[in-house]
Amino acid sequence: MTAEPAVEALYQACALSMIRVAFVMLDDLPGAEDVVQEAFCSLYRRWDHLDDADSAMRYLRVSVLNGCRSVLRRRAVRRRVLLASQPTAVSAEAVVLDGEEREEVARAVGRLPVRQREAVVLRYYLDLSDEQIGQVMGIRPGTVRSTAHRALEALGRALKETS
Amino acid sequence: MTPLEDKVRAAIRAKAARVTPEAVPPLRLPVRRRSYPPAYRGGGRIGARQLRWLTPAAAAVAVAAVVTLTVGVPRAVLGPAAMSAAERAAQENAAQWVAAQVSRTAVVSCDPAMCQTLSAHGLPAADLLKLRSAAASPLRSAVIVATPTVRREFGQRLWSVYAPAVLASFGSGTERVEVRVIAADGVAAYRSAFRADLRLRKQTGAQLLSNSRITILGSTSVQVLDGQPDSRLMFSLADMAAVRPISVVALADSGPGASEGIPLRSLTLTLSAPNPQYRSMFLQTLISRLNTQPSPFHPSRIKRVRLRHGLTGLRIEFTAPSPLGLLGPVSPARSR
Repeated sequence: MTAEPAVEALYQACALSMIRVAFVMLDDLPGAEDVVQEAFCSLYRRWDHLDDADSAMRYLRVSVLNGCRSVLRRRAVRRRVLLASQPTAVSAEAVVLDGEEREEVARAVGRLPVRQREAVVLRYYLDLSDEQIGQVMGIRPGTVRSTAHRALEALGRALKETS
Repeated sequence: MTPLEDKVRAAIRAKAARVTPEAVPPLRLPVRRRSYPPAYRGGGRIGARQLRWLTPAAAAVAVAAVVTLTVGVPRAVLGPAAMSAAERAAQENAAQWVAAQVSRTAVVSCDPAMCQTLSAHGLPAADLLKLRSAAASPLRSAVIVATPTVRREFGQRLWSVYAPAVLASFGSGTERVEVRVIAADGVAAYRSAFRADLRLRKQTGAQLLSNSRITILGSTSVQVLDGQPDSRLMFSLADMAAVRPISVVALADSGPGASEGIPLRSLTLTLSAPNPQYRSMFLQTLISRLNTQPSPFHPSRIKRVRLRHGLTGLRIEFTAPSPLGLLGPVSPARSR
């Protein structure tokens, strides 16, 4: 299969879940869409260098995470420059739909350090194994486990504090 | 799973579910693959949101493509299949030929079993492009070893898209193993460059025949006039003749079963020196000169050989695949 139809097909199959991952990471839908578009464009340019469908998926996940990291980095710089952190506004509709507790957990996930957030999202949203998460994040499975464990501890503490 | 993990999973999924399928904009791929105009940035976004749905027909095509990609491709893994003795022998011969004849700067595509055989013949793993599935592209390589497995998986695409010409073939029938040259810029570009190269080789061959310092013996003169020698050999002949008058005895080494017109990459020559005792010294002069040639004009092998009537000659070989366009006024075509 040539690059264009293959990437289009992959986009139809995976774009939504990738945008959702980026959205959970960034809490910003237009930003998430941009990251995913960039990832697919990059995949398209690199298509001839990929061995198979599995490596395409792996490449895509890594690209999306790297894109999210870049956005978060830029955002952090902007916040430092403005000397003020503006919490993301949550719509009233979302609060009603999702429930107060879920919203609180989601907010706590959003406050995790980037690496911990990545581990949590890849594990609990994409249901990837520790080995797969390790491949995407470029760390060892053991480090994935400890990172996820620390994330859960932090979330547990945060939720106790707010309850 | 702990209650906390359940909560985290539910919260993340609930948050993710806020992104509805309608929010997925259409994909905007770059127009050109090598230069990168990020079409999606800037003004493109507004229009993108308005074009949310593909037509049902396009969606059906996309679904079929997804099925092919996610289900078909993993099944088409080029794994080791049961191999007959004839096929094994053909692979062994092909590996020997590749190890001896193919340039060490060239990347070789192969299925996993063939790659293993090539590794056993001394090819470094970094020079092998393992084709794990039929979806893999061999375009990064210079040659492909087309085993029955590779031919079965790639089908007609093998010669119509990737590798139009055979450099050497071993075995017969469906068990044959071919070493094919990859057309990095596409088959049409390769054929066009090949025709232009052949035309230039014929012109250069005619010039070599009219060179008074080069004697071309017997039927070899017809081969030279036909443009059969590799352009690197023609360049070397003219260069050596400038040093000493030479006689070309034979041309060889196109590889068994090579496609028509694949250049001959080896020649045997002797010196037209009247005094036999100077021959050895003059041959050494030529060897030194050949050894100082830059790439791609540096031969892969230079060997003194004993010819008939007690004459000493020189055999010069270049590696495969032959570069195209070296004799032309423009930069050489990509042959990887």
